[in-house]
Amino acid sequence: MMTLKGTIKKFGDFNALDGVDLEIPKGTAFGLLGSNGAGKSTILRLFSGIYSPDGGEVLIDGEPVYDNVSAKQKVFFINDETVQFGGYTLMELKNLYKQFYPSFSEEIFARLQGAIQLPAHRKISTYSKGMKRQAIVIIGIACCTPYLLLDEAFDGLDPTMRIIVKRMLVDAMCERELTVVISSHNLKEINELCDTAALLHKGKIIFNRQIDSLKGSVHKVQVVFSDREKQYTPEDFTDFPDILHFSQNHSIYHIIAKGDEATIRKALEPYKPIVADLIPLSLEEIFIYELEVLGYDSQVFA
Amino acid sequence: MTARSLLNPMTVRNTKRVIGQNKKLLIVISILQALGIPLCALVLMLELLFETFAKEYDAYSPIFSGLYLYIGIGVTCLGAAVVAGIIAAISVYQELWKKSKVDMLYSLPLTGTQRFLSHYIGGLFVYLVPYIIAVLLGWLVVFGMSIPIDFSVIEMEKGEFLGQFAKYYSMASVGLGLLMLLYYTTTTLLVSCCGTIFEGIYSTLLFNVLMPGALAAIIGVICANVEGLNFEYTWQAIGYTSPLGGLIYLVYILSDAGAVYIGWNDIVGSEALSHGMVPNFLRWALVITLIIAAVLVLNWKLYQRRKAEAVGTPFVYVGAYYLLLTLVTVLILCMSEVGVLGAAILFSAIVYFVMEVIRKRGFRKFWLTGVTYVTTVVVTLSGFWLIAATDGLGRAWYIPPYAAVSSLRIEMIADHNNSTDLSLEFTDKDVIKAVQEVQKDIIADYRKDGDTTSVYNEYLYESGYHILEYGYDDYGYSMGYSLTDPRTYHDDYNYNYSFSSILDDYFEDETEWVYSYARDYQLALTYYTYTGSTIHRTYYINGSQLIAMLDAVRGTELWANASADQLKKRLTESGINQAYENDHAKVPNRFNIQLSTPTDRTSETFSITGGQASIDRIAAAFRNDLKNVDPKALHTSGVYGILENQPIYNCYTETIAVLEELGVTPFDISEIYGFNSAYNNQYTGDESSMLKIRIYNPGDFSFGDEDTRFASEYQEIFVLPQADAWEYTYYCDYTSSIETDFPELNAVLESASSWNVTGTDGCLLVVNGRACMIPAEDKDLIDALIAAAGDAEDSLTGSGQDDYQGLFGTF
Repeated sequence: MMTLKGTIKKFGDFNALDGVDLEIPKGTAFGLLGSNGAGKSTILRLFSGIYSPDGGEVLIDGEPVYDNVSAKQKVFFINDETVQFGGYTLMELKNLYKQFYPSFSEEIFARLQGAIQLPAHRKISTYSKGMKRQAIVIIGIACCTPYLLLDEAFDGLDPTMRIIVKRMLVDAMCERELTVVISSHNLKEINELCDTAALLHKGKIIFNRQIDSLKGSVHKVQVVFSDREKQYTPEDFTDFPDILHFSQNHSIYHIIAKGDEATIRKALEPYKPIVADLIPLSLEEIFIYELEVLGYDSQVFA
Repeated sequence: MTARSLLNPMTVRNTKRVIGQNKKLLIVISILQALGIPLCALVLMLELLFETFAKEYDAYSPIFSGLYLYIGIGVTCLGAAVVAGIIAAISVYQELWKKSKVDMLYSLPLTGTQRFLSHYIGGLFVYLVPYIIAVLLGWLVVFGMSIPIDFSVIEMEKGEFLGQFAKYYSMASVGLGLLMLLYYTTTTLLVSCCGTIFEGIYSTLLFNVLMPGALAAIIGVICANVEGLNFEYTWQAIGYTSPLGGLIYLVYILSDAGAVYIGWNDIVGSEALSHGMVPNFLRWALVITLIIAAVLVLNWKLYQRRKAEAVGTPFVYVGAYYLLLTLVTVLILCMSEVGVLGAAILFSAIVYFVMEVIRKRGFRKFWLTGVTYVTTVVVTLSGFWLIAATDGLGRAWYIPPYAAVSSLRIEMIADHNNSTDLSLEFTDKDVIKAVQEVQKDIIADYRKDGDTTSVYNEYLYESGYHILEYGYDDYGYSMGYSLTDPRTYHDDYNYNYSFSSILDDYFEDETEWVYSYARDYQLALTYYTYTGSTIHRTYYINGSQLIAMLDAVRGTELWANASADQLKKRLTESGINQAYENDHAKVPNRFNIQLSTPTDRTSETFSITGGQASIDRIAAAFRNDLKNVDPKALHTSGVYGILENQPIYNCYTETIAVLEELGVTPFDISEIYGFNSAYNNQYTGDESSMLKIRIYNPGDFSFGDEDTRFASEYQEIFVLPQADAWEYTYYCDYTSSIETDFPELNAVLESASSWNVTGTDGCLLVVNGRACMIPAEDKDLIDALIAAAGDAEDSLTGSGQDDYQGLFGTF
């Protein structure tokens, strides 16, 4: 299990993480969502032992990870850049990481490398961006660490390669209870690959839930009330679950509210709606509406 | 940093990775070292062969001159390989300045210590292993090349030569290796303190220049304000400041040992440095090793503390920046010592504020910059003031307890002579104690009156006779060639020299010029203590103090042996040269020795029999006289003559007895003057600033004739021992003219002749050591001169003698 306990990380005067608590159970495919600068990459770097926390704890299987070889050997971190590997060939890179990760599997490496046909003896700097990403992903998977951290993992991959990489990850997860933590702005990818996601904003976790339950926990309501003359405001719905968004178009009201369908329908009953349609939100919509509540609103430039 | 970290397989693996990543650099450095070191070693060997130890350098100079190209190639390659340390250090610690490398390197399963160590060792391997291999290659090349060389061209056996070479080569290679290690380690430290590659490079360059530069400037300020401390010696402290400072010191050690000539050998204190050259080197090497270890530990601690995210931020450890900034500020402020305080402050302020603007990328919190600058200036200048006010916190007056002193080296040098005149090292506690008593008097004299005006050298002006002491350098101790006891200082011959224009820089007016004689001798005392420390002091002393110092060492075995052995060596070499056979011939049975007049103006040659045995007798007698002579008798003794630059005093009875037994006879004159060729009133203040007049009665001198020893030198005049002259000194300045300011003297000079055309009735006039004759018929002019001098006693700046004799018996 990967654990953050009251973790604080500061960069100068800037609080990147402000007392974050997070648990990622083994075998989870975990998605880290958040606005730019929310602290997603910081969490990954803390888990991979690059950063030391300024407060709280960062644990891998109960062990502090910073400056701890045994804990770090359980983690492989793929960041959003590939330039650092430019001086190596794929084989050299494999041999390099093989030295540091005792669990490295030549067989897995050979299989993955064979599958995507990456040139083994060409400098990685001569690869395309997508090929570089593939190269480091297959190295990361072949290291066979229990935890694989990916920062913007699918950046630069073409649609076919995205599928291939996703399959690689899924296979690894199936084969050996691999825990994958993915940070991405591409919510579709997170949606497809992850079973759990956390949303970060300004160094704090807004929510941390299973994606399926997350999707059913927020609904878009299109409702027409019987009293058409009355102008409703959010303040009129005191018994309603959390309202994330409220807008009106003539007599039709659009409400984004937290809560399951039954709860929301029950809350609507006192207002005698003529029409009430409930639509579950996509992950992207949840992301947008959750952050809108926190002031991270795309409408400011509208 | 534990052994576990060092031996950890992860460390080893990462070290291999670092080396593999820097393969190209390794190859380049290897090629440079493989060319540089063997070439330098080979050229050094050939230089020693054909230049330093060659019997006939001229015969081989064409060979040696052809080597300069190879020297250039060798030094260039070696220099480039050494400088490449900065590339190695920066290259292996990429995670400290290259953002893209941070994630990859920090996420590897390594602890901070393992990562630090493996990077350090990896870079070290790339940088130093080629050097070590090249040094070994240098040994092979040199010894391989030495096989076909004809060693008869040098003055020593092959084994001895190779032994000497091995000593210098070992010290040079170990020393350079340590400096490379220091350079590499300090660079890694500075890289750890910086956030960007640019900062790392310029910090390294600045550090190497500023550390020794600022320290040298501070030492200069201290030495200028603290009596006894000598920059020529104290500067050696820079050898411990930085790789560049260490390199300067290492070259100095080796050059002083004769391995490399760079022309610094006449610096006072160099003899002290050569005191146990190897132990000195080992001590330096030990200190440098400890410094390297300290820098490494500091670097390790800073590296561990440093956060991954610090990369790219300016000066991660701002202390390094402020160290450099303070050094450059202090260096500039040291200019205040030469009287340009305002300019120094202004210049340092400009540099300080510009550097701050660059670092802060603007004027953020600039008031703080002002505060730190003012603090730096105030602290620095206060420090200078404190040093001057307290004589280096009392260090100027410190004399180590003699019980703690294992040996004491005494060096003396006369300012008017560029050679190192005496250098002997004493271990006798009584001698050390006696010398310390003299040193206390010298210090008390300084403390009483720091300037030179009150230390009038009475001996110089009043003794009227002269002593010469000479020293030698061939018996494990060294003495120079012409240390002049003040009593050997003949005014007529030497005052022009002492009043040469070079002294204009030191003395502002004529009154002080008079006393410039006072501290004409440089005394350097170097104490070596049992704890290994060295305390060096240099003083300018007057003649009385010099004699007191000589008295403290006179009578010692060391002094007597050094003097006698040198006399023996010189007599022997002189005798051998007369054999005209070959360099290794023996002294022939009959050979000549030369005895000079007390002021060494001329000499007489005596034919001696007995060969080496006679020389041994003279030397043995001389040794006994030196050991047994009563200092009081020596102080009042006249000079019998000068033998091979050694003064033989009248109280050296045993030596004189042996000499006379061998056929030497004493001189029957006291002084000899040569005629000036064109004597007229050309003397002006511009020439000498002082005109010293000496007039002898007709009966007090003679011209050489057949009956005299110097008959053939008819242009010389011999002043008889009983002669007593009228003396007077005119002091001039640059505007003085004899014609207008001293008309009576002008009239006398107008009548003067450079030839003895006046028969025996004329008198002898000596002006600044140059002689001329005044015809008897012009005695009125001399009378007028003497009368004018007496009248002008109060108005002239000079001084006359009241007890003159009438020149012609009529005054």
